[in-house]
Amino acid sequence: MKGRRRPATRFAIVVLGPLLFAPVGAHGQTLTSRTPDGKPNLQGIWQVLNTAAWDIEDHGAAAGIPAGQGVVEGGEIPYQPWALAKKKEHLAQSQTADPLSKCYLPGVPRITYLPFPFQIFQTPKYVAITYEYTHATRMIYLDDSKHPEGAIDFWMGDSRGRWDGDSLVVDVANFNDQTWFDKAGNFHSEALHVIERYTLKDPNTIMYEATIEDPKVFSRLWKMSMPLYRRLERNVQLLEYECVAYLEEQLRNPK
Amino acid sequence: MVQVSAQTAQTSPTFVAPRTPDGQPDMQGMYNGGDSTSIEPGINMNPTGFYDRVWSQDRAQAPAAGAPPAGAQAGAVRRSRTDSPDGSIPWQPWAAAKKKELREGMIGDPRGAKSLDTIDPVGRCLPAGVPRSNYTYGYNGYQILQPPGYVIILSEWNHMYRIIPLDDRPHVSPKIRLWMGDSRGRWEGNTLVVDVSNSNGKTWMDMAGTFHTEALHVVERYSILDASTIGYEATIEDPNVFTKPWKLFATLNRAEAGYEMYEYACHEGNRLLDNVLLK
Repeated sequence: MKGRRRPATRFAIVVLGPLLFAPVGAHGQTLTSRTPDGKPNLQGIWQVLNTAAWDIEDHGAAAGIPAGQGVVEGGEIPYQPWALAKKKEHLAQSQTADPLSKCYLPGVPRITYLPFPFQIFQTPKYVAITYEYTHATRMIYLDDSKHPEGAIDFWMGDSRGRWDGDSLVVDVANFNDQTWFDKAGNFHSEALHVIERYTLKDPNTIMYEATIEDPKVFSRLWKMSMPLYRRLERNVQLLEYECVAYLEEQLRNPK
Repeated sequence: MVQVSAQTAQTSPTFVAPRTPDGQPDMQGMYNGGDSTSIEPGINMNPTGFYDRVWSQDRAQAPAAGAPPAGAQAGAVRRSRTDSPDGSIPWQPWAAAKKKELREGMIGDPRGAKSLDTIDPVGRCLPAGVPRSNYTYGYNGYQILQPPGYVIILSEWNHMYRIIPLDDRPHVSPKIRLWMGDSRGRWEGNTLVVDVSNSNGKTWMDMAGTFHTEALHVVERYSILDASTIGYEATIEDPNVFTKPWKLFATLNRAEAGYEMYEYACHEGNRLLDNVLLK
């Protein structure tokens, strides 16, 4: 028995060694695992723990809305004057005008900080993110391919990624002008361009940053950032939130 | 082309799929295929006979609705999409009547529908469910990824996805009912076997009202037939609806090089809810 077991043990050390003896990341933090092709292992189920879904800026509480400190670096979104006025209009009608009230795809980055989990899968050529909310998906191409040319737009944009050291950097373009950043009516135009950075800070935390560019709406680039927390429940898996089914029910049985 | 290669694989079981880093037979890539107009033949869904014609053309032009049956001679083709020679489904009498009602509800202009319940859930942009998610529309693609420990199937139509863990974790609680069911997989040689339960009973298996209840239990077999073909076989069990378990066949064909799935924002562009509920 012992003779049989030993080769297996040796095999485990050889194969798992790189995973057990964790390499040290760019900023000195310890990364616990890497994928077979040596990239930081972002795989798993993640979720935010903040109030950005309601308002990405600082806000007090209201009925059904928890107070929260903003995730916008520098505090305020640098709107052009006309756009700030429009944002205020949106806020006043948020209950019905929020695209999520019609179960539309939330766009990027809003999908990241909805209060629902999402799962990251990695292969050498792709990072796929599947979201529990309305079964949204994103395919992030890592093959140096370009965004589609021409006037083609998507609710969730088109995502092309690359590894910058130990950060996954995703360039997201080809948006439509129909999504909001939050329930408070913060918005963008079809000129939106988002650059996301996913950096594993420790085994159970990803630091997430999204740089927002939209010269039609904002006076300069701005950035939001927040941690993504690994869901650690023993049996955690993505379930479903099928928004459209609930919208049907609402329309069938109006209050 | 594909039919020939599928049969070659069937008669020469020497095809060895490459392996992923964690040792799974590798079927990653982009695929096309499928049609969910009607599993059963003879479904004259509108006065012009349109769907019947689609069905027979489909069989004439692409007779390989599924891989040839086990033990078939080379050159055999499966003209039925089920394991019954005439393509029928073993309905219990009450269920056959209900299917007829659902199918007739699908006839004609949906704006005339009596109720949303007689309109195909896929037409309402709800998830296709299993097995239909494997053959929803021929004009949309599928992408299969195999990160360690999982098979992920992403469908272009309505951005559906399936996460199939390959470990031995149990199904979620029966209190949790899911549009896409709860999937658990394992490899048997070159075949991925997926056990799917926890259905919410609300999906149809085709446009013609092939329904089921929450008791649906599906065992799927994805067989890597050759480098470009996956044969799909689903054993469908629902003691509330069928007199016995039955099998459904489909094929996934590798898509042309460079195929990328685009966003299919189904609900966002759908006017059905407005037309039926708010008319």
